[in-house]
Amino acid sequence: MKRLVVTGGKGGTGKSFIATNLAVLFAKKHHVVLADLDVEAPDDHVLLGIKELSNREEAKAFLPFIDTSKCTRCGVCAKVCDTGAILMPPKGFPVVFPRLCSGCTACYYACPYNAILKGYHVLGYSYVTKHPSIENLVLVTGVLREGEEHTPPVVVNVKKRAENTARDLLLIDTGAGTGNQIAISLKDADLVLAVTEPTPLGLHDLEAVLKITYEMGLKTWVVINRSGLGSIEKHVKTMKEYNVEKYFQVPFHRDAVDSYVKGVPVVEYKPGSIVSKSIYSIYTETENTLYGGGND
Amino acid sequence: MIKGLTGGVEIVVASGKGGVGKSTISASLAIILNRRGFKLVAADADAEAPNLNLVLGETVWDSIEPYYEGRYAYIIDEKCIRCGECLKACPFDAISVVDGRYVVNKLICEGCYTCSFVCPTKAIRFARDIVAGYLRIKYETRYGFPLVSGEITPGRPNSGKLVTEVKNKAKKIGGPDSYVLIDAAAGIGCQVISSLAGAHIVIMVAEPTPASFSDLKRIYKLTRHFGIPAALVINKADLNPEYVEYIKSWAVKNKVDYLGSIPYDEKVAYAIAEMKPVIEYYPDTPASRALYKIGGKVASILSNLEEWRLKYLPEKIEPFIPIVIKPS
Amino acid sequence: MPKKIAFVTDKGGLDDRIYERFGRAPTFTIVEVGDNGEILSIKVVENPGFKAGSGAGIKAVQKLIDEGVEIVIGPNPGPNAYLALQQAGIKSISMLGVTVREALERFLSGK
Repeated sequence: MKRLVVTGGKGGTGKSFIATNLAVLFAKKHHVVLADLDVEAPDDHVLLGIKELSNREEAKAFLPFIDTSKCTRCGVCAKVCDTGAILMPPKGFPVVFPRLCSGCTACYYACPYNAILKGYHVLGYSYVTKHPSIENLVLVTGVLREGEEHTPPVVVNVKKRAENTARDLLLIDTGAGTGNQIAISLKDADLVLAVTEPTPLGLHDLEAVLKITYEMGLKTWVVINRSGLGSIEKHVKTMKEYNVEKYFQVPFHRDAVDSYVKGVPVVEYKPGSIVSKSIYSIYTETENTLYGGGND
Repeated sequence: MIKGLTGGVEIVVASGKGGVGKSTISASLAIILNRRGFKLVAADADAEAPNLNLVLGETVWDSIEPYYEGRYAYIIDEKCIRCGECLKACPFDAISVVDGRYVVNKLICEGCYTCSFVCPTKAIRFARDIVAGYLRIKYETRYGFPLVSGEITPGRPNSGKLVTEVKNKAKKIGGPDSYVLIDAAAGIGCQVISSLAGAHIVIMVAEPTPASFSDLKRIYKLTRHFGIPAALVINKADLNPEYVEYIKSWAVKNKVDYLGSIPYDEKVAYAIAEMKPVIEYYPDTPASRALYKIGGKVASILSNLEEWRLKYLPEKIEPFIPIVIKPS
Repeated sequence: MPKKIAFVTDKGGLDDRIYERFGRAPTFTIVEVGDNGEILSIKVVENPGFKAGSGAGIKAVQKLIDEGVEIVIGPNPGPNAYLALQQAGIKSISMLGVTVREALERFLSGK
């Protein structure tokens, strides 16, 4: 199985746009699992025109429960809890605050009396949805519950489900930002595409992402989306500093916006568009690099 | 003014989806409100991708304070017996085997100690008090108001706490009679929740696309959890006028004050490239005119804030309730 | 019975002012008061919530519990700290804009 990860740092540079279009192109030749790990703002299904997500499962994290028959009120659990989710009151048993718990299990292993039982906290959901018309395309979507703060455990959970579903290509679309949920999504990538835009904002956030992929030792290419809006001179210089061997430009064009609004990937909506052609060239190069090309 | 306020009025600009124009709108609103006499402080609450200073053309800071936070684990290889317990126990998938050695990815590790409790040979140590980011202050931007901005080191967790620090610093600089304009991060995670906590008004930004609307509804849900009255601006409106109407009717139904729309205007992109807010660089372009109009509306809301809040406060707060599954 | 009263403070001590945030205050000034209102001891302790990445309110209250505090005087606690104080049976009294000495006097004179 090959793993291609699309990321970008800044929100709205077109990560999901590139990921969904690549998924459609790869699916002509490969079995594709597209994992939408932007669990705070999952949009891949919207861009693919999928109306309803199916096969819902809870994305759970560990939550401690106190076995009062074993608890000696020693207070170790409250001491080791880094997120302050356990309080040891002067009387009675430890009190757990589910909202603060990150599900790390430190208390479970630290308790000298095995008095912590494994319960769960539902942080969000994952879905596995077959594309209604594209045979070889399966979308795995993660959704963080509104109000939950613990994004990383949901990403871990959804990623595992996607890994179990994938067999030929796992194409991951990450969230915005540079937090540890992005590094979780990037881990073990065979190739990373960092999507940016030709603005000073795009440049700043591209560098933050390249720092991460560089430190993780991941082969990274850059996609400059909406190219034509501004200068990319500094982008190219930054890419050199981080050993980026290759970059692509997707032109700023009305076709991209129209397809986006319609909820149809541009490579299907207008295959002849210059936007589609530029994405097609990204596809050819990535496919070639991941699979060596030629062998159907 | 709201009575008994200790740290000023907090106005949050949020959208759920990234790239819909939060920073552009925040920068323009800050300038407009400041010129209208509101004692304004701008706060960039997207510590993972701080961009507000770039829109305002500020790259030199008066003060840069390091932000120390957390720790990450590392494994002493000589002590490691390669039993794999840490890899199995790590809840964040931060441990891998590289060339036969167990290593912790410090860009993932949250420093929760779990691995150290399962390691039979005590091979796991922690790097502590690491510089996890910076809190940056410009006391007077070229537009006259102060700007506070956080920048987290890539890969470090808990950017929400840095956002809280940024907000507190902004409130402190501004004082009780100030207006703190907070440019929130994309998403609905810890950074956004930290931005919303304690806010008096949320200005939601959407573009007329199904994806943006989907994320808008998620931000809206957070405002109901927090009991914050919400307003809405639709950006790039002419991309899809029908959908604008659709979102507008949703806003009316859901007690959201629709402040107006901004047309798609390529001058906005040129202004960003020049690191100047569009209302400064092209004051007469359609987007700038729309921004001035929206700025005027926000100003009149702030002048009658208590009245406005009464009108748009959620009918009832829908407190967030965690879903818990008991041990079987 | 002597009582331990904690004041939410910055640097700590009788002349420090009440700090405006509860969970993220740098210190607590703990004053032990005898039955006739006399000060038996004064101690300044670090608040672990000050540096906490998350759960500052809970960590702050845990410290108060461990110190045997019965009453805390300071700003309104946040939602987590509020619940934790309830669980701990610690009474919280809201006072701002005064020094620890003034707050203590007000408290002892029944406000």
